[in-house]
Amino acid sequence: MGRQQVILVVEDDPNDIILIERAFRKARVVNPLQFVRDGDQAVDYLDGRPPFEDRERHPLPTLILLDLKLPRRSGLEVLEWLKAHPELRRIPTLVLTSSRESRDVGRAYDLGANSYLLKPVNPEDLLHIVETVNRFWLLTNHAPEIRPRYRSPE
Amino acid sequence: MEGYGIVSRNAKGEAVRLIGVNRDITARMQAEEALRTLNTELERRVEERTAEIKAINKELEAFTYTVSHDLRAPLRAMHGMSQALIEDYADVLPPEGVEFAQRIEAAAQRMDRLIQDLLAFSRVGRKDMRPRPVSLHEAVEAVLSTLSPMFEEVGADVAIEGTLPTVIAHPSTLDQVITNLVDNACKFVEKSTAPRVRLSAETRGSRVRLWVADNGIGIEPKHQERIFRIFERLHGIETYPGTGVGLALIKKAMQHMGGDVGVESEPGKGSRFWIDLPAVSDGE
Repeated sequence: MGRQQVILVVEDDPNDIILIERAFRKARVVNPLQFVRDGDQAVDYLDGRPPFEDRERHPLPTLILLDLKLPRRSGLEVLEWLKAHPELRRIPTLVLTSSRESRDVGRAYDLGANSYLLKPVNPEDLLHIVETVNRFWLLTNHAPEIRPRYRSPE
Repeated sequence: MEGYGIVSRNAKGEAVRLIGVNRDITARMQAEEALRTLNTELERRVEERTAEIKAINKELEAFTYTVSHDLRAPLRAMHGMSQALIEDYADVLPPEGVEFAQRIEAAAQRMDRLIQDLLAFSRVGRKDMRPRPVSLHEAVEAVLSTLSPMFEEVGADVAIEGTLPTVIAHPSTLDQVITNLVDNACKFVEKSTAPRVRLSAETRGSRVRLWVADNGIGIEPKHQERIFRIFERLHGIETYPGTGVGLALIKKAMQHMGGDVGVESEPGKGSRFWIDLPAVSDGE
């Protein structure tokens, strides 16, 4: 198995990107991270549209971390698109957001989110979350096989 | 016009005459009309006002949402970055540099605490606070068990005296009030003293008074009203940390539950805070 199991992180806040990257490094997670910065990019990446069409450089992720408050398409819209996709819907998708509003939480689960995580203020808590995600979603959980047969219409 | 009449009949019972009065009732009709208009106008104004209040509430909710999410994002960055700086560059930073980074981190933590307290304050009274019978004893025991790690940390001796009765309150709001009171009782003590807190209750007619007595620094009489106002603090943040929201939240919560809060205290002799709540009347 030559392909690396990448994690797609959909996050627009540059500070959070640095902190998430650092937490993954500190937790010694071996999976590489791919960052996209808005909802449209997330859909382009997952659907293999330019500039993400090269699956060697931009492999399908084994796990998605999704912020809800994003420029352009929102996280919930990305989730709606993803979980309606015939193949990609299998990719475990964890919401990672600062919103604890019950309508966001409920909507995310309704759309098929596999988990809902709150961004903590304390970086130690973030490290703890990343360690838990690694232990459960990357090391314990058995991942589905994903072979996209076709691209969804634009 | 308005008319009244009496039919007068002969011996056979046949109507022979009609005696009556016709009155001009224009003034009364006008008054009635005015009253109807006024009623309609009142109803319309109540509806208008209700819509306005609903709009304000919605705006307030949106504002709270912004406070809790958008304000916390930069805070997360400050906190995370300063900690990363300390952890990753402590060996190349002079001690003063490390101290500055630590101060940024502490300030970010304090601001997060403040935002959380403000959110809690704004939530009191916004949620459905329908009061119901609550066992004060069970409520206090639950709070003490939640706070027990803190008691161990500061070496506090906290206990209930006697049995506490049942009161009428909103359970989660009551929990928050008791938590704040006990937390304060353990916090405002001389550094060399181990906190000692006693909770007891007395029934005063239709009300129950819960006492929270501590062996803390006490409060001068002239400050005893001020401390219940939001953001009021009597001490520097380094002596006794806090946001100045806790007691204001208690006061607001007690008012919403039809109760009250107060304190008896002298400097150096500890404080006895009390809350009053409606008692459960017989037969309930």
